[in-house]
Amino acid sequence: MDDEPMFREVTFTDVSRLEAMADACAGFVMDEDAFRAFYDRTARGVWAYLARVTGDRQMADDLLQETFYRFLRAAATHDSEAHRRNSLYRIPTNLARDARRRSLTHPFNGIGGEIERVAVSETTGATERRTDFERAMARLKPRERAMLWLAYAEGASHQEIAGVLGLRPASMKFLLFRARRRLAALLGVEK
Amino acid sequence: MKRIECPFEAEVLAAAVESRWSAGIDAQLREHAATCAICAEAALVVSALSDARDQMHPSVTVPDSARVWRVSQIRARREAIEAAGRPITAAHLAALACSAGLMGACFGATSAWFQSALRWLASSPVVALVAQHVAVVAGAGALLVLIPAAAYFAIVRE
Repeated sequence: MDDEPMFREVTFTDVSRLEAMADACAGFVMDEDAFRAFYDRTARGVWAYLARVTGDRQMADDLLQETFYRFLRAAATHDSEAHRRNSLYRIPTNLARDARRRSLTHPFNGIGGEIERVAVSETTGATERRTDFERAMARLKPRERAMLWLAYAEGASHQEIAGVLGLRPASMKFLLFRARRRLAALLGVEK
Repeated sequence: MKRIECPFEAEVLAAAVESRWSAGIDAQLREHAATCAICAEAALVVSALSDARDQMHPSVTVPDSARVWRVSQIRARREAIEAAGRPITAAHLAALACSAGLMGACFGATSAWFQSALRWLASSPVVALVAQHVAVVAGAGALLVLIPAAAYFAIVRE
């Protein structure tokens, strides 16, 4: 019977891999407790933003994990909570844009399913209003959806929205006005 | 120039964001919104977005923060191992190529059969033809590589 050694010899490859493993999480932007607190404060908002911009609940689920992973790996320093949130929201904005480029499906398929599911517990009027709103949002450009959601659902300032969407702060007022006007017109049409 | 803001807009937005638009707002503000397109649009849009947010947030279920942290750690480690393995793989490939080249050189130098085959190949008319039209052959070869590559990237981009 062959006597196999209990431990094989440690190679250069093993050492470099072990070192890489040890260093992998040291580069995270925050420790576990800080991350978990930050995640608990922001994850729902980020998910809602992703679902609203992509129009797909499943994609929002997938991109949420990716968003927080990239945020951790970015190893950026933030001088305030607002700055940290802005950095975070930039990630789903880019992920949603990349996903949209990859996907040829209609951007608002997923939300339709959501409406159907919640409709049972709502009054007819409320359901109709929701459906009108979803349809109107679906007809906006993704950037307009993102802009309106950040401004009026998340309460972000013009400066913050410009930072997240990569736009000039000076043009935000006009772009937001135009997006609001489009949505108002669409809501009017839907009604 | 078209007007894009109204002095009452901030008040209208605040009322709509706080869900006070449908009830409990100042009569004067409501009267103003009835005649001001900017404020009417703002109230309509912001009320709709606030309602959507209020309906959406309670139904949102996100993964547990501990799970997200754990998955992120595992993924970071996996990626770090892959990254650490890349130079080692490259070194392995280089070593393999060097030893293959060395073995080929030894074989070519010692094998009489191989040398006679080389002489036959050098005197064959096909090689002479290729040598005369190097540019055409190189162009055709490049097309054979470039066309499938372009088709692949076009499909991937779509």
